[in-house]
Amino acid sequence: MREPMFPTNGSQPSPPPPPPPTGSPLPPPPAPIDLGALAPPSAGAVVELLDPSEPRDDLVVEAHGLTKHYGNLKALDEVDLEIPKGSIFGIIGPNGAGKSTAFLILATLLTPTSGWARVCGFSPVAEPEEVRRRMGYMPDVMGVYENLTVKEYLEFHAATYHIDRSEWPSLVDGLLELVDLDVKRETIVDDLSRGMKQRLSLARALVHDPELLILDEPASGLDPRARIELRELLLQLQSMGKSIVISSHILAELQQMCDAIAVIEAGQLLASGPPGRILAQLGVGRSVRVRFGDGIVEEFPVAGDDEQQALLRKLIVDDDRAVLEFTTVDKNLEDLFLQITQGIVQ
Amino acid sequence: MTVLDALTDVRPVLDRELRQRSRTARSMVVMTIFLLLALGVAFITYTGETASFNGDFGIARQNVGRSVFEWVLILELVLLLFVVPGISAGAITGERDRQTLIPLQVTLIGPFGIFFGKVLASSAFVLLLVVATAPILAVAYLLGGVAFSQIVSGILALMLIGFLLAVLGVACSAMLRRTAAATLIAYGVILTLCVGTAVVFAVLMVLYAVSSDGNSPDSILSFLTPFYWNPFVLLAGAAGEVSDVTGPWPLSGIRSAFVETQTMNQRIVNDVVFEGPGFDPNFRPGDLPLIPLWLRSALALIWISVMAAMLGVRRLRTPSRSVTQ
Repeated sequence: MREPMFPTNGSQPSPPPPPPPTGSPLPPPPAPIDLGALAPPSAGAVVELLDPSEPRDDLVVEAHGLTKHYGNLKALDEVDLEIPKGSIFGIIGPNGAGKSTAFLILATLLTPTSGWARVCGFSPVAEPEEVRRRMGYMPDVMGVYENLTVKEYLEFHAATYHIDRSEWPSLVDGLLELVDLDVKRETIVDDLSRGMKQRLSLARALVHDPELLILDEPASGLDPRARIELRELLLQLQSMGKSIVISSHILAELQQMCDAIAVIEAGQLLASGPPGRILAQLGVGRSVRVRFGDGIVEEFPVAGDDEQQALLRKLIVDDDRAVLEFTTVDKNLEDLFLQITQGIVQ
Repeated sequence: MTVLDALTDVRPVLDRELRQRSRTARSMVVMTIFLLLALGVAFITYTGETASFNGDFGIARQNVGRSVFEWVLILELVLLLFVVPGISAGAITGERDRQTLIPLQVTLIGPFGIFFGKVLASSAFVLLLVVATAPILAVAYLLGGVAFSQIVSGILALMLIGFLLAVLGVACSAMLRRTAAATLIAYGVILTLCVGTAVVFAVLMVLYAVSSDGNSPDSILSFLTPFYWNPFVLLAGAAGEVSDVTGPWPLSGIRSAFVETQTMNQRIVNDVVFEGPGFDPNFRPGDLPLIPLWLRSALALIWISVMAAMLGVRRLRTPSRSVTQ
């Protein structure tokens, strides 16, 4: 008998790993970011990365040199990923960047041309069944079976994971309550709104109580309310101990909920790490816009409140300049995205 | 994978397919048309036969029973040849079109479960169609001229053919990206089996007539081989009969043609062995294939279906080098 999945005991996710020391200043765009400076592993960790036989307990996804070619097209090119257990990890990049390809490899559907990956401690190529037991995958488009009710849809997927029929009622009840679709239990799936379908698709991915969720553009096409509901749901799932890997075009949302992000463009990993750290390293974390008495407006990058106060003192006291306006400008993930990607379309 | 594992994998897909199919009007429409056509053929055959009757009523009634039986079976086979690819060739491509295949492939159901779940769902509909027409065949039995065992073997042969056609259809569906292409190829394969085998036979016979003196003992029987892949031959082997009484009976006609060819071959062999050149020391006079016609045909069709199933299952296996979404 499986342990009941819902409600949970509210187990907390393991804390994200401590940020690595910052390295040398990053080159200005469009040159790619020095990944070694963003996430330099220790000397011991380098050995582990190169040795796929040694899984790390603190990571839910590891990938090294992940490469996928379709003929001459490099959909993924030597991508390294380390995703801590219990975290929400966002993958951002323009259309065609290789996000979905990476997801398909991690979800046991696609073989890489070279490189290796480990999901929940298992190889998605050599041990796909073990990965599937522990991973729930939600593709960017939700497929719909005609003439099936919401309840039947979830029961069907429970059967596909060999869950005993006697457990279906409580399982379906719990899932529908979690995604707030319990009143739609007898509704035909095709009649649901897009937001409801996305929530149902999430419930489907959760049907076997996976430890990892891989969500490809789950907020795509949702209205603001549905997006907020989805975000709250994902945070709730994280609080239940799930690890979540998510891609999205709505960068502000990723910034609000992701512990770490990876930026991919043209199949290459441009940056990886906590959003705040990447923003700081790129110098796009915060700046101050100053309008002087002579009408000149200048923008100064600052690292934090202390530096901001020091700047103001320097301008007024040391430089003796007339400051008419002193405005803090917080940069976000969108600024980061625009700064480090070049809009390359393969 | 054990048999139990395989059945566990097949069941969810089969359950869902049957549930969905039972909720659409299309299944009922197809079944109604199928039954009406079978009834129509039975009626036309019956009235045609009785209208031309003059003579012994007992023999005539038996001939009518035989005619109704064989023509209804032929019609059912022709309908299955049209219906089964139509419902099976969209089985996997339909999942791709609806974007439901990938969520299915990341579950614990393997490619075998997906493939044969689809095959059994299509076959279940065939089973329903064939069983639904059983009462019409029972009328033929009541008229006489048909043994009960022939009715049973005729129905079983139709079910087997339906299953094998479903395997071919689902295999096409697994290997191709679009439903239209899969359906076209499935119909092409079936046309090759039904008509192509006859064309190959005709070509071989012409080549034989041109290049041989007509006395080669090892030719004619081997020329029949392409026909073993013909579903009509399987049905004829199962439900046709060889008798002195003749009538407009397609299945008995096919089966009798095979027996005649074998007899002719026997004569040629005897001529060669005892009189002509080309003596074959390994051939024993009186040798005829011991395996019944229906079994030879069934084995040939099963072989091609197994090959198709292996290709289809392989195409559904993940992880793969490319993913068709």
